[in-house]
Amino acid sequence: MENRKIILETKGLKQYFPTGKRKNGEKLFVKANDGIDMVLYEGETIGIVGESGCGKSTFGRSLLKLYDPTAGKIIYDGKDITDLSVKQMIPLRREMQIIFQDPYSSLNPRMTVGNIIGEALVEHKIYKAGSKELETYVKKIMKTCGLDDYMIYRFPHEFSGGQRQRIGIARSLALKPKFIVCDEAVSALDVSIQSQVINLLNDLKKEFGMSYLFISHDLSVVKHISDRIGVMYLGNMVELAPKKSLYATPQHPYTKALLSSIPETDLDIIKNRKRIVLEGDIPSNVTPPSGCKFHTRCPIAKNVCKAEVPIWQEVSKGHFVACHYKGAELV
Amino acid sequence: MKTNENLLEIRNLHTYFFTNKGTIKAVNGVDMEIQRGRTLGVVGESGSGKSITSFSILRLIEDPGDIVDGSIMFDGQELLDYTEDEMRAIRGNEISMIFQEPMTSLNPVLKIGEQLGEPLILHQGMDKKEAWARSIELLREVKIPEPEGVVHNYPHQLSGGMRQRVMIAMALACEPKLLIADEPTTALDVTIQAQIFNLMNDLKKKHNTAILFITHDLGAIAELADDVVVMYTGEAVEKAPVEILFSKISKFSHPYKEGLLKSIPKLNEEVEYLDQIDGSVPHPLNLPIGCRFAPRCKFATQKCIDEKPNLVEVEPNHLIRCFYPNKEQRDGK
Repeated sequence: MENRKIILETKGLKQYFPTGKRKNGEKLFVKANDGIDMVLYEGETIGIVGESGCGKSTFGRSLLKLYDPTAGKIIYDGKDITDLSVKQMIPLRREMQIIFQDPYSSLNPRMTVGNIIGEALVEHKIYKAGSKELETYVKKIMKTCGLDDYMIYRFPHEFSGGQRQRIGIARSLALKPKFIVCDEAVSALDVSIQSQVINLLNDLKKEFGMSYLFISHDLSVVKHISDRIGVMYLGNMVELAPKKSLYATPQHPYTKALLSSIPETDLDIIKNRKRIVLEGDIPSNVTPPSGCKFHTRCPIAKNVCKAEVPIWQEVSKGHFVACHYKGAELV
Repeated sequence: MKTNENLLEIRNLHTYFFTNKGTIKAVNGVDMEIQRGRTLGVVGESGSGKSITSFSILRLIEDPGDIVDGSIMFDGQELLDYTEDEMRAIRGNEISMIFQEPMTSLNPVLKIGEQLGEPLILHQGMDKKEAWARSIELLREVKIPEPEGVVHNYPHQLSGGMRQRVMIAMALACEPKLLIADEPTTALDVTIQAQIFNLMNDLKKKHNTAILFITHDLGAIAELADDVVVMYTGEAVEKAPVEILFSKISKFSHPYKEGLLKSIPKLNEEVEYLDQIDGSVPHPLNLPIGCRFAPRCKFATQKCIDEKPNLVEVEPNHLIRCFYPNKEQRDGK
């Protein structure tokens, strides 16, 4: 894996959002990302999972420089892009794309499908607006994404959820990006449509050799689509591992709890599994717990967990975890 | 399955919506029954009519919709004969409902204690003080920490999981005989979902409440339901107890359910490609003449396109609406 080309890397990435002041004048921040190190190789899919509010969407958006990072570095294709201005980012936007969760609110209702998909191509001066070449190219991309070319003059409201998501995918794909953030890209879809879109994303990856950051709360979908998986909790990566290693030998108690919470359709598994049900809700990330942020809900937390932040370390090849009692039995 | 044991019995329910563009048959001849202390899971995709079925039970269908035919027997009484006033005495009292989005179904300007007390004052004739005290007890029952404090909170001060617990507490306030849960955990994280499932199971055991559980998630069905109805375009396509529906031994299965099951990625197996059901749910104004699922079905024959199959008992307690319910014979074609 080391020989492969790194497409994207973050070093200690922090993304804070100001959220008012205390009475004594101390400024408060939502610590959405609190120091994340990650390397994404070319042609690889990293899945990011975690509960709502863990910072997974913020992380995806920070990578595309949709926010100005508070601290840390983002290195894309060997180039430090942390401090690039909006203008300087424009040529890079061709290569970095995002697919959004909600296929209803992310498409402009007043634009035809052809214009939605072609807009960026015109913006980046690849094709001229209204040209025959543009139309041919858009139709080709639509076909790749499973949309019929007669749909090119239609408006988003004429499509079903699954078709709209395909339009969103076609729009991202039109620029032949090298890196796509899929932010809950299939979560809003019905099960039968979900598998169609997942298969499409996998096909496109093979065809164009793209890298994905696949953000989802659905661990079984993430497992299917990812090569490696990162588990986030309250702004931090708590475990990152190749998927086989993560699902076979999860080290962090939070990962174990997440895995055991997934609804199963196999009745034998339901009967025999030991389910770890976490108590309580995810704490506030304005004033996160001290030490290991998970200690307030962790079934095996000891005093050291309240006091000291666990170190991010490699336990087996490519398997990283931050926990004082990594790998300990929970039940 | 003796009929008199059923708390709720829906027979041949038809709920239509009369729109300018045509009649949408949202629920088209559905039969289902729930016994006391059991959970009936209704599973289907968007547009399958599962939510409209539950709204029909509570007679909450609004214009241009109408229940045009059928019978809904609840505890020996025909709900469709009830007047609006009589229905009001049932809603939130004998039958209560929890919804998908706990934020929009709670009143943002009322304290939790006031909202929880409302059905108690309305249906049980408690005064404000009694209702407030009972609210605290109810919150404790749904395992909300420090209920004495939470009764003073407003909904926006609570997390999604907590709000859904409040909804459940409110639904249980009058000890209903039937609880309708419409996608109760869809907006919640898996860890919180697991908490809510545990809670619902405990409450069912403790109060012998019957639960109608509506979801799009087959996993949630396997976790929570005793009996299952699979719906597609307003019709039941498969009905069975959960052990039979998810059985690996049973030879019978509806191709739609089979497709749904296979299209979910499994944690314990590794596949290159997910099976997928091609196409999408047909438009309600443009339904196929024959089997509704035929255009998307891998096994469809000319007969499926021309004729409409009935819901048939293929083995004890297992009903399927398909001309080719036997998996082995079907795969051979």
